[in-house]
Amino acid sequence: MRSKAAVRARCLSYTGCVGILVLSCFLISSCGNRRIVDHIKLIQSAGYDLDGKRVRSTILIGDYTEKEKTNIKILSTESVSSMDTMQRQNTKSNQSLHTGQMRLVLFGKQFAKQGIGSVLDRLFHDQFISSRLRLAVSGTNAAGLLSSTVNTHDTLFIMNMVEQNEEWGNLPKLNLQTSLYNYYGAGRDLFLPYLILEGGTVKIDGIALFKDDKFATNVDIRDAFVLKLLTENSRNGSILMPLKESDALPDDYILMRSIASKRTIQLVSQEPAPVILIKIKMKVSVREKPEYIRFETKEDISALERKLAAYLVKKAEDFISLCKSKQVDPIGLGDFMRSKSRGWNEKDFQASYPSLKAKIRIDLKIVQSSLSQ
Amino acid sequence: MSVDAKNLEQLLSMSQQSGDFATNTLSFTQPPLKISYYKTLIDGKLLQQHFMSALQNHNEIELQRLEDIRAFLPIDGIEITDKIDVIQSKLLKGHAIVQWNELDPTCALVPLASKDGIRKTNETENEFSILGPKVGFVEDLDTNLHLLRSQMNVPNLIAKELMIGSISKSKVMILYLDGVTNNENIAKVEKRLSAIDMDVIFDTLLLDQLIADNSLSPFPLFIATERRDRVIYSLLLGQVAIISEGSPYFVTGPSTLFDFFVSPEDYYLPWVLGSFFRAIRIFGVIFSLFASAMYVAITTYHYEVIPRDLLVRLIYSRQNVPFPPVLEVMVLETTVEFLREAGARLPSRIGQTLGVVGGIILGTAAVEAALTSNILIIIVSLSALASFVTPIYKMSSTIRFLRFPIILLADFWGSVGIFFGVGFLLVHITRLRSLGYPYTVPMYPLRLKDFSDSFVRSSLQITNMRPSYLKPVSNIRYRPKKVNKKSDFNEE
Amino acid sequence: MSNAISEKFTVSPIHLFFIMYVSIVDISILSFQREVAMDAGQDAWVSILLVWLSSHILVWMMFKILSNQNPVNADFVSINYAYFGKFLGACMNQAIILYFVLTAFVMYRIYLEAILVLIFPTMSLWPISLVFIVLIYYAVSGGFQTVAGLCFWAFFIIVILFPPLLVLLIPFLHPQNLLPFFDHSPMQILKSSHQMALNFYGAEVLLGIYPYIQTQAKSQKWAHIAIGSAALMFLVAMVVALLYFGQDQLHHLVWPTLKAIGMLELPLFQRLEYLVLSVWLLKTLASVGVGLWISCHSLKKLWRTKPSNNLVVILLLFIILQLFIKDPEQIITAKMLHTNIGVYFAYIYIPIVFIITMVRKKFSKG
Repeated sequence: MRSKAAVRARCLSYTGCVGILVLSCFLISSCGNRRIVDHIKLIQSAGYDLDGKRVRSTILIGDYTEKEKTNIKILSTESVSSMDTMQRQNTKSNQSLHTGQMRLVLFGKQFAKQGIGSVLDRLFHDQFISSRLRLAVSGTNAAGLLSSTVNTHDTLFIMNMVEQNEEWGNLPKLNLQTSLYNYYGAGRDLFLPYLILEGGTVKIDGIALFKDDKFATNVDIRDAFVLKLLTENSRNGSILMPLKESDALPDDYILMRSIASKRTIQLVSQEPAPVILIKIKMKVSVREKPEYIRFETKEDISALERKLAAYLVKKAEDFISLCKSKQVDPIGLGDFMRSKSRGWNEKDFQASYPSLKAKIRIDLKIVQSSLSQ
Repeated sequence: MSVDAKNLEQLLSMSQQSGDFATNTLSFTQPPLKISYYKTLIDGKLLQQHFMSALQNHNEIELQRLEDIRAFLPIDGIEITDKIDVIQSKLLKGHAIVQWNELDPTCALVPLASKDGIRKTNETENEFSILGPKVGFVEDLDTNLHLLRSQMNVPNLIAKELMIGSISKSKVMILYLDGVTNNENIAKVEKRLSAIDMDVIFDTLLLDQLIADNSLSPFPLFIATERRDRVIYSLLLGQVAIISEGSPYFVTGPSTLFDFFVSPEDYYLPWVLGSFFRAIRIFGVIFSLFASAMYVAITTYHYEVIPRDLLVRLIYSRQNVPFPPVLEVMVLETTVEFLREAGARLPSRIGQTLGVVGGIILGTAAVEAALTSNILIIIVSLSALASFVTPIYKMSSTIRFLRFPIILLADFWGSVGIFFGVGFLLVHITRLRSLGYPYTVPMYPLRLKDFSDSFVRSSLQITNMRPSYLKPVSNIRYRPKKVNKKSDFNEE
Repeated sequence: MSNAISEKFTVSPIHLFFIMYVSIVDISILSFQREVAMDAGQDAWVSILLVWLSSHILVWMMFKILSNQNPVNADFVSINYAYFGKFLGACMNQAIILYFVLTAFVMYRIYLEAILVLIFPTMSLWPISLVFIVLIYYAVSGGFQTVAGLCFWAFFIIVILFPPLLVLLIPFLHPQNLLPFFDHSPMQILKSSHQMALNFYGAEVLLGIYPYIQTQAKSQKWAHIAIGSAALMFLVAMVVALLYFGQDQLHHLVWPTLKAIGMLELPLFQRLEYLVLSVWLLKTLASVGVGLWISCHSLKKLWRTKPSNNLVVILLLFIILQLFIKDPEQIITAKMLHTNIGVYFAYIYIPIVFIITMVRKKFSKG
C-alpha cells in the first residue's frame, strides 16, 4: 500500500499539470476566433443586382450606437462576380462583417433573369447561413428596394413584411430551405415572392416563377393565393371575386377570406397523357359584399359557394396553363408523378408536361357567422 | 500530540500549573477528604448544594472507605477507579476527584460538569423551513441525543461511542438503527473514524472531510445537517449518522448527489407539490451552473443562435461595454461572491443592508456607467439566486465554485467548452464514491426502483421501501394501507 | 486469477444496453444519409432494415460464442488464444486491439474535425485536443464503471435531446418523397446496405466487455434491444433526411441531420445544430472511452502491463496519429480504412469464430 502523503502529492501534481495545461490553452487559443456580438457588424439583408456585366451587391447593417434607435447603414459594392462581393464589402466597414444573422436575400430582376443558381449554391453550403433566411425577387433593382426601407429603422423590414404576408396574406410559405428544396428537387421549380416599389414604399406584388435558376415570369397577388391553395394546406389569404363577367362596377365584387384549406392530389390515369386531380377543401368567410347579395336561405349560400368555387377553379386552371406554357412547375406536379410511377425521369416528364391534364375540384364552404349580422 | 500523565501525582502537579485548578482538603469530614477539580469545568452550584452540603450534613458519621461516599452523595454516576487515563479524561470533562488521602492512587470521580456556555435555543437557523418542526441541534452531545431519542423510541437506535482527537478527546457517536442499517456501512464508518489522527475536532464537518472517499473533490460526499427530522429520516432509510461532541451538525452517509436536493419540507407538502419544488431545485442548479457561461459562449462566439427579436436588445445592452464578455461576467460573479461572503461574516442586520446597497446600488451604477450590460445583471443575479435553492449549504457553495471554470471554458471554446466542463463534471461525479457507494445512484448505476423518491417525491403509498443501493437489512419501512379505495365515480 | 470478477468492477445487464447503444450510434448518424441514399434513393430504409437484421444475427452469434466460454475469460483475448494457439492468437489479439484503438481515434478525430468545420473554422486544433485527451484519460482511468456510467449519461442526453427535435421537424417534412416504394434493383439495395454496414458498427464491443456484465444470461435481451433502438435511430434519421431534403438536395449535403435541426427555433435559441454538435462531445467521449477501455484491458491481459500505462501509451499514440492525419482527405482515408476493417471484423471474423465454437461444442459433447 502506498502512503497517503505520496498519493496526495501525486494528485496535487496532477492537478497542477492540468491547471498549467488549461492556462496555456487559454493563452494559445485566446486569439482569432472570437466574434463578440457587439464588436462585429451583422448583415441582416442583402441584395444582388446586375449592373451591365458587373454584379452589384447591397447590404443592410444595423447601427445600434444611438440609444434605443436602430439606424440602417447601407453598403454597396461592385464586382465582376457575385462570389467576392462579401470580401469587397468588408473593405468598406470598420468592423468585420458576418452573415450568421442574415435574414433576407433580394435579387434584382435582371440578376434573376441571368440566373441565381450560384448564389443559392453558396447560401446552401455556407454553414453560418440560417435555413430560415428568405429569398425574394425585386421587380426593379434590389438596391433601390433595400434603400427605400432606410427610414423604417428596421433592418428586417422586407423580411418581416414577407413573413407577415405568408402568415396572414396570400403568399405561400417559403424560406431558404423550401426554396432550395424546390430548386434542387427533380420535378419542381423555384418560385419566390415578387416585390416592387410603389410610391417610394415596398409592396408585395405577387410571385416570381423560375425555370431552373432563371426568372421566367411573374404573376399577381391573386395568383399567389391560387398557388398557395395548390401547394400547401394553408390558412388565411383573401381574394376578390367579380360578380359579373364584364363591366363590373366597384361594387360588383365580393371579398372572401380563406380560413383554412386542405389539398390532396390524385393520379386519375397515366396513359396516354397523365391526368391529375387536385382536390381542395376549403372554408371561407365572406368579408365584404354588395347590398344586393343576401344570405337568407340555404340556397343563397350554396349558390354563392358554387359561384366562388367555379371562379377559383377557373383561376387555378388558368394558372396551370400559364405554367405549362412557360414550362415551369411550381406546384411540383412532376414530383407528384415521380412518386406515382416507377422509373420516372425528368426529361420525359418535361416532354409530356404540356399535354398533362390537371383537373381541379374545389369543395368550398362558406362559414357564415349568423351572429355577426 | 498527546500529553498523558503517568500517575495521579504527575497529573495533579501538571494540573496545578493552571490557575483554574483547585485542590481543597475538606476539614469537616473524617478523615479529611481531598477534593480536586477544574473550577471552570464544574458547576459551582452543584458543588455547593449537592456535594458540600451533603457531606456536611453527614459529618458525624465516619467514613470507613472511599466507597462510602456513594451512600452520602445524592449524585449519580460516581466512579471509583485507579486507572490514570480514566481519571485524567474524566477530570478534564468536569469531574471532581475525591481522594481518601494524598497518597492514595484510587479516587472517586464525581460528575459535576457544568453546561454553561451552551446555546439554549435550538431553532434551525441555517436550514430553515416554513413547514414542519423547527427543532435543530445545539453544541451539546447529550442534548442532541436526547432530541433524537425523544422521537425515536426504539431500543435499536444504537449510538456507538468513539474518542477522537489527541487534544480535544472528543466523544464521537456513530448512530444507526440496528436491524436496518447494513453492518458493512457501520463497520466502514467505524474503521475510517478510528483511523483518524487529529488534534482537535472542532465540528463534525471536519470528520466529514477526514472520512471522505475523495478529498480532492469539490462535492460534499456526506450530508451535514442541523435538522432533527433530516437526521431521523436518514437513519430510517438505513444510513449512518455521525456527530461529534460540541457540534450542532450531524453528518449522514452514504449519500448520493440527489440527496442534496431533498428538503424535509418536501414530505410535509402534498407529493405533487413536493415533487414540483424538487424539480425547481434541480433546474435551479442547472441554470445556476450554466447561465452565465451560456451568456459568455453566445456573445463571444455563437451570435447566430440569438433569435432576431433578442438580438437587438442584446446588442443595445452590450453596446458601450468596453470589456469582453468573459471579463464582464467574471467581474459581476466575483461581486456577487463578495456580497455573499461579506453578508455571511456580518451580523444579519448589517448583512441585509449590505445586500441592498451592493445589489441595487452597485448594479444600477454598473449598468449606468456601461461597465456591464443589464441583461447580464439579470442573468448573474438569477443564477446567484438559483444557487441558493439547494437545501444543503455545502452543495450550494460547490455549485457557485463550479461556475467559474465553466465560464472560463465557455470563453475558450464557446458551447463546446461548456460541454467540456459538463464532461469533466460527469466523469467526476461518476467516479465519486460515498462510503464506497456510487454517488449518482439511482441514475447511474440505474436502479429504477429507487426513482420513487429521487427527482420526484412520490406518494407515501409508494415510498415505503428503503433505497436498495444502501443494501438495508430490512427493505420495508412501513406497510401502506389502502385507506380509501379508489372507486369509479358515483359507485359504492 | 479469481473465479469471478469482483462486483466492484462489474455493471448490471441493463448497462450493456447503454454501452452498445452508445457505441453504435456514432457521429455518422449526423452524416451517413448521403452515402446510403446514393444508390438506393428513397428505398434506403430497406437497406437499414437489412443491416439491422444482420446485426441481430451477429449479436446472437456473439452470445453463442461467449456463453460457451468460462465466464471470467469470455472475451476475444482468451477466445483467440484458445482457438488459434499462442502465436496466431496473439497476432489476432494485437490486430483487434489496434482496431479498437483506431475506432476510438477515428471517432475522436472526426468529432474534432466536425467542430473545426462547422463551428470554429479558424480554431487551432492543439489546445482543444489536449484538453480532450486529458478528459479521455480522466474518464478511462476511472475504470469500467466510469466508462459505463458515461455511456449511460450519453444515452440519457441523446434521449432527452433528439426525440423532441425530431417531433419539431415534422411540419417541415414531405411524405411524398418516400414514394414510390421499391423502385430500386436488389443490387442497388445491396450496395447501399454495404454503405450502411460501414456506418453501423460498434456491436463488437460486446466481445471486450462481456466478462464485466453481471448475470450474463439476462444480458442478451439488452444487447438485442440496443441493436434495435440504435437501428431505429438510424432509420428515423434516414427517413427524416429523405422527407426533409429529398434525394436531389441530399446529394449535396454532408451533415443532413444537423442541417435539418438548424431549421428549428426555440424561444431563446435558434440554430440548434450548435447545441447538438456541442452535446455530441459527451457521446464521443463515452464511445472513445469504451474503445480505449477495451484496448487497455485487453493489452493488460495480453502483455500483463499496467492498464494506466497502456492508456498513456495509447493517448500518446493519439497525439502522434494526429500529427500525421491532418487534412480532411487523410481523415476520410482513416475512416474508410477503419470502417472496412470493421465490416470484415463483423461479417467474417465473428462467423468464423462462431463456427469454430459450434464445432468444438459438438466434439466435446461427443
